[in-house]
Amino acid sequence: MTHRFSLSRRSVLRGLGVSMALPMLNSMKVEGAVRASTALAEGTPPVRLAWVFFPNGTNSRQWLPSGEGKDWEVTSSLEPLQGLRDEFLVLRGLAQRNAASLGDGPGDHARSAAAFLTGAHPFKTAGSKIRVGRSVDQVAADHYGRQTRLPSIELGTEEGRAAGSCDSGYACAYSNNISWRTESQPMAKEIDPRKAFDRLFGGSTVKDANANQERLRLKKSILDMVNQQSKQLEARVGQDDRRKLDEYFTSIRDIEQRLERMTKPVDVERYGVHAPKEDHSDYGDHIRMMYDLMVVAFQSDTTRIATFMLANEGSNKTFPMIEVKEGHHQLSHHQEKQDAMDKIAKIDRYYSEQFAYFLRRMKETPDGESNLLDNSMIVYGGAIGDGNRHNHDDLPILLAGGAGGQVKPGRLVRYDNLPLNNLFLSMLDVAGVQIDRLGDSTGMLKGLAG
Amino acid sequence: MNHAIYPFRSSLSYLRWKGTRQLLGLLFLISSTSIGTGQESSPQITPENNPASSNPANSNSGEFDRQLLEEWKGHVQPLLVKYCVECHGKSTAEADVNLELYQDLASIRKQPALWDQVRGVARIGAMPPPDSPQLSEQEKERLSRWVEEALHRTDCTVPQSPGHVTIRRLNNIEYDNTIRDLFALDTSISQKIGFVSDDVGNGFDNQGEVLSLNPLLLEKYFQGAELVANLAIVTNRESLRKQTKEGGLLFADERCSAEFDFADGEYEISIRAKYGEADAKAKATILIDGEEVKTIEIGNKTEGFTLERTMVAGRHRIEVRSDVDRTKPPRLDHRIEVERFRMDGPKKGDPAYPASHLRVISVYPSDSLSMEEAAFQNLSGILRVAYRRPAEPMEVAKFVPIVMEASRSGMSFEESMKFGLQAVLVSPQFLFRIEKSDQEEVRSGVYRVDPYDLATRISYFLWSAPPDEILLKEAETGGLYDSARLHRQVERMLDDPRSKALVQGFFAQWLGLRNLTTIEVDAGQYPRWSDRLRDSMNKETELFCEHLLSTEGKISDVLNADFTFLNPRLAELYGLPYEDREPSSMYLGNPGRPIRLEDPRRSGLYMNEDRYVKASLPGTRRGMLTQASILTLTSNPSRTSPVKRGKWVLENILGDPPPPAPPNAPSFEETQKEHKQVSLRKQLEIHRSNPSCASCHKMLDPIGLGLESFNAIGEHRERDNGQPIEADGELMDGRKFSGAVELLEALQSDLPKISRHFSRMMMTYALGRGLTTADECAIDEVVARAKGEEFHVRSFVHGVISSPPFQFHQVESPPTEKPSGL
Repeated sequence: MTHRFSLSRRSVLRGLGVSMALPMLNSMKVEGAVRASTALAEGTPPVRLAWVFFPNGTNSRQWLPSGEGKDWEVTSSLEPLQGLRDEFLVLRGLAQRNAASLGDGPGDHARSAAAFLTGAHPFKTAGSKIRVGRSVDQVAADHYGRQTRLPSIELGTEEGRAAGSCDSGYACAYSNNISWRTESQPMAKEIDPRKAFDRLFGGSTVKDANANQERLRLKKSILDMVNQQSKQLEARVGQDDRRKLDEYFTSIRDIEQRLERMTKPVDVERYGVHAPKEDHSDYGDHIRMMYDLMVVAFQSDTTRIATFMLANEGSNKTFPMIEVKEGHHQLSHHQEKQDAMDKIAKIDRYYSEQFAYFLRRMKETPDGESNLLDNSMIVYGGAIGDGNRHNHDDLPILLAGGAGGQVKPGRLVRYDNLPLNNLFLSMLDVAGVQIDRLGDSTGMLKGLAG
Repeated sequence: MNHAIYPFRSSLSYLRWKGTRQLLGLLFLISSTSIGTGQESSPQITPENNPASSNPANSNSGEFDRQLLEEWKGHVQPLLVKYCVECHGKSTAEADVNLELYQDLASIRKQPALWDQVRGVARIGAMPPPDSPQLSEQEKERLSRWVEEALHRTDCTVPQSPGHVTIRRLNNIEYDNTIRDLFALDTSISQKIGFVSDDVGNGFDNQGEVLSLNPLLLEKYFQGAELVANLAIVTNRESLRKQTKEGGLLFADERCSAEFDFADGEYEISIRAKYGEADAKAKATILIDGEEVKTIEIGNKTEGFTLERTMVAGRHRIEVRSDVDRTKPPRLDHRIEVERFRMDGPKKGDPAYPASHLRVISVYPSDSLSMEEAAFQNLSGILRVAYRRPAEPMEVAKFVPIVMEASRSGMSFEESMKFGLQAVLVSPQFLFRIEKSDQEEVRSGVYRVDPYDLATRISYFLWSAPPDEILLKEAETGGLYDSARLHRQVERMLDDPRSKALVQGFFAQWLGLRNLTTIEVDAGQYPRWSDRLRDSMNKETELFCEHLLSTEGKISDVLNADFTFLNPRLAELYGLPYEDREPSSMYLGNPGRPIRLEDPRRSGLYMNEDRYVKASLPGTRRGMLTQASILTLTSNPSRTSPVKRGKWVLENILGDPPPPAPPNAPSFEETQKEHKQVSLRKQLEIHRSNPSCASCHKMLDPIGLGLESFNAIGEHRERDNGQPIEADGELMDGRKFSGAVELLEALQSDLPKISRHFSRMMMTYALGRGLTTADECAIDEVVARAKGEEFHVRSFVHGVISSPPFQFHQVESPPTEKPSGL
C-alpha cells in the first residue's frame, strides 16, 4: 500500500493535489472536436460569463462605432473584429457613475477599476477600511458557480504595483482588482499562465485522482484542524481582527468545497490540453495563453465565470511590438496631440486583435449543439471612456456571445446614460440568477434580445 | 524614578495625566515594568487608572479644543467671512463649497478632505481668485496653521490612545524570511509557488488592514507548506552522501563558494572548472572556511579538481578564489568558470542531516518513545519558532493526530512529520501575527504589548523576519521591558545583515524605489539603458540607505552627502573614475561580439560589475535626489518630467503634497495643446501664468526644474533638444537657487519637515497601520529625540520602537454584531 503514498516529485497537495506530467507545448492548444463533458451533453449547456477589462480608456473617436441597430460600421480600432461583427453587441451610452470623483478629488484610475464590476463608489483610503462593493462575477459565482470545480477564475497579466499608493491616495487594491468577493475583499488574480493552469486542472486526471485519495483525506484533516483553530481565535478578537480571520475561514471553506467537488475528476487530457509554457515574457503570448485557459476552463466546465484584467488600471506598459515606446498611461493623457492619439488607437487595436483571437477560439469550440461563444456572454471594456477626459459615461462596452439564444448579437444598441450595472443585472438574469439590485443598477437593460 | 530612561520617556508622556489616583497607577506601572521578569512585568492597567480606555482619542482634549475654538471665533472665521464666503457661502456655494456651514470643530473635522483643500489653496495663494482681495502672508499662515492643528493635531498633554493594529498576515517577503530563518532554507517560496503579490496601503506592503487573504492565496500557502516540508525533511538519508552545488564566473580576485553539511569523517571534495582563454591556463585557490587548502591550475577544457580531507561535523564553506593575472587586459574570456562544487562522503558512517531536517525532527520514535510522544516533542520545537512564542501543550497536541493519521496510512515517520509541518505552516497563528490579549486586558482597553509580541513587532520591523533565539530569550527574561537592554537589542539587530530587509522593505517603499523594477525606458532614446543599469541604480540607492542605517547615517545625508556607491557601469554614467580607472576601459561587452566603445550601448558586462565602491560625487550631484535611480523613476519613458520630480520630492521627502487642483484650473495638457511649438519649460511657464494653475506649480515646478540638468536616466546634461538647460528657480517662500546642488542646499532648512515626514513613514511601516491624529504626539517625540541626536537615522528607529503606539495596544471596541462573513 505504501507505494501509493510515497511523495512524488511534484506536490501532492498542490492545488488539487497532484503531479501532472504534462508536456510543455508552445502554447496551450485544444485539439480535435471533442464534445464538452458528459454532464453538459445531457442537458442544455450552461451560459458562461466573462468580463475582460482594459485600462486607461480609449481613443474614443476611433473606438466607439456610430449608427444603430444593424446599421453600424466597425471602427478602425475594432477592425480586427470585422469578421466577427455578428457575434457581439456594441452597447453605447452606458455609464459607471461611481467611478467619478463625487467629491473625492483625483484618482479616476483606481476608482474606475474598483467600480467597473461593482457599480459602487470606492471609499477613498490609502490603507484602512478598504471598501467598495461586491462584483457581479462574485454574485454570479455564489448562485451559479457552485456546480463547477471552481466557482470563478480571476486572471491578469500584471503584478500589483510594488511601492507607493497606486493612484492619488487610493490603496492599490482598487487599481489591481476588478473582482470583489466581499465589499472589502478583492479576489486576487493569477498572472502566471502555468500556475493558472495548475489551479484549474491540477490533479484532474483520472489517474491522479485515484492515486491521491489518501492525500486528499489528509488535506481535509488539516483543513478541519486549522478551521477549529481559527474559530477559537475568533472568539477572542475584535471586529477588524475578526474580519481578517473571516477571510481565512471563508478561504478554508472554499477549498473544502472544492475538495468535495473534486471527487468527480475531469479528464482534461481528452481535450488535448497541455500546460502552457513557462515563458510568458511576450505580452501577446501572455494574453492569448490566458484567453486559451478561459476557453478550456469553459469547455471542460471547470468554471462558468471568468474575469480577466488585460492590465492593471493606470498601467504604463509600453508596446514595442507595435512601435509604441511611450507608456500606455502617459499616452492616454494624449492632450489631443495627434501623435499620442494615434498611438492610443494602435494600443486599442492591439487589444482588439487579442480579443478577436479569443472570440474565434470560443466560436470554434463545440458546446452542446452549438459552440461556446453562442452559449456565452462576454463583456469587453473598461470604466474610463476617453483616456484624456477621464469620463465615465458612454463607456467602451462590447457584449459578445449569444447566451444560448437569449441575446441577439450583431447590433449597436443605444442607451440614454444608463448604469453599466443594468447590463450586469440582465446578465445575471439570463444566467438564472434573480436579484433585484446590483450596485447602482436601476433595472434590467432592454434590447439585448433584439 | 530613574527607571524612566528613554524608551519609557515616551510611555511617561503617554501616561501623563492629573490626579492622585492616576499618579498611583503610574507609580505602579513603573515599578512593575522595571522589575523586568517575564510575565509579572506586564503592567496591570485597570479601567480606573487608564483614561485612554474610557475616553477614546481627542475627547479628553478639552483645553486644546477650547483654544482652537476661541481662535476660530476670534480670527479664523472672520478671515473666511472676509475673503471666502462671498463665493463659498450659503447663497452661492461655488463648486459646492459652502463654508458657512461650519460653525464648530466637530463639523470641520468631519470634512477633512475639504478643509485640507481650503488650507492648501489658501496657503499657496490659489484662492481667492486674483481679481479678489488677497490674504496677507500672516493671514495665510494663520488660516493654514489653524486648519492643520484642528485636523491633524491633538492635545499631547493628555493621554492618547496607542491605537489598534489589525492582525497582520505575513506578507510575501516576511513569509520567505520566516521560512529562511525557521528552517535554514534559502529558497524564495513565494516566488517558486507564485504567491499573489501583496497589496499596498498607506505606501507600504505590510499593512494589516490591506493584507487580505483569499482562497487563491490560501491555496498557495498549502502549496508553499508542502514545498517547505519536502525541502526541509530528508526521507532518504543515503541521498545526502553525494551533493553538488552551483559555481560561478570569476575574474581576477573574485570568489565563489558553496556550503555543505558534513559529518565527522573522510570526504572527497571537488570542483569542476575551466578557464575561458584559449590555449592558456590560470591559477586558482581552493579554500575551506577561509583557509587555503590547495592551489590549482585550470586550463581551457573543463576538468575536475579533487581533494581528500577529514572533516569535522558541521557546516563548512568550500570556496574558489580566482588568481587570474590581474594585469591582463579586461576581457570576457579572462575568467574562470566554476561549473559546480561537489562533496562525497563520509566514507564510513551516515551522512549529516542538513540543519533544516534537524530543526524539524530532533527525536525519533523508539522503544522508549512512542510515535505520539516523538511527534509531540518535535512539534513543540517547531511551534515555538513558528508561533514566535512557546506553544501551550494543548496547542501542540492538536497537530499530533495529523502525523498519526499519515503514519497509519503507511508512511514513514519522516513523511508523516511532513504533514504535521504542513499543518503548522497553514495555521492562522503562523500566517498571521496575532497578539496576545487576555480577557482582563480586553476589558481594560489599553495594555502593554506582551514581551513575545513585542519581540515579534521589533524583528518584523527591522528584519522582516521572526525573532531569533537571542531576542526570544530577551523576551522571556523581561529584557525588552528594560530600556537599556532594549536599546542594545535594537543596535544589535541593526548591525545584523538581516537589517537589509529594512532597506528593501522600508526605505525602498518610502522612496518608491521598487517601482524602478517595472519602469519602462525608451532604450532607443537612451542607449545606455539596460536591465543591468537598472539593477546598478537600484543597488546604489540600497547601499546608500544601508549607509543611512549605519551608526554614521543622518537624515540630512539624503540632501547633502558628497559620496555614493558605484560600480564601473554607474561610474561611467556619472562621468567618474572607478578607483582611478577609466570605467569604459573596464567594459567587457557581450560574449562573441567585439567591443566598440564609441557605441554608447552597454548591455554587456563590466569587470567588477558587482563590486560597488564608495566614491566622491562631482560638483553637480549631492545626496540621494541626484542618484540615477530616483531621477529615472520620476521620468517618463522617453523624456524627463519636472512635474513628476517635483511631486516626488514634495510627497516622498518633504511630506507636503500640493493640494488637488481647483476645479477651474485648466489641465497642463490644455496648455500644451495651445502652445505646441515651445520647450517644455516654456509650456510650464505659460501654464503657470494662469493664476489658478500658478499656485500648485509654484510648489511643484521649481524643484523639478532644478533637477532638469539630469536626463531621464540620470545622466548629467548641458542641453535638452539643443536648448541649454536652465536650472534656476525659486521655492515658494522665496529661497532662490541655481541648479540641483543649490536646490538641495536650499532644502536643508526643511530638515524638520523632512524628519517629521520620515518619522511618520517609519511609524506607519513599523506599526502596519495608518496613523491617526493621536499618533502625532508620538511623532513629536520621535522627531524631538532625533533632533537631540543630530538627526541620526538610528535615533528615529529607537524613537519609533520606544513610542507608545509601538509598545502599547488599544483593544478594539467589542464587536456589536457578528459580521456575516460574505
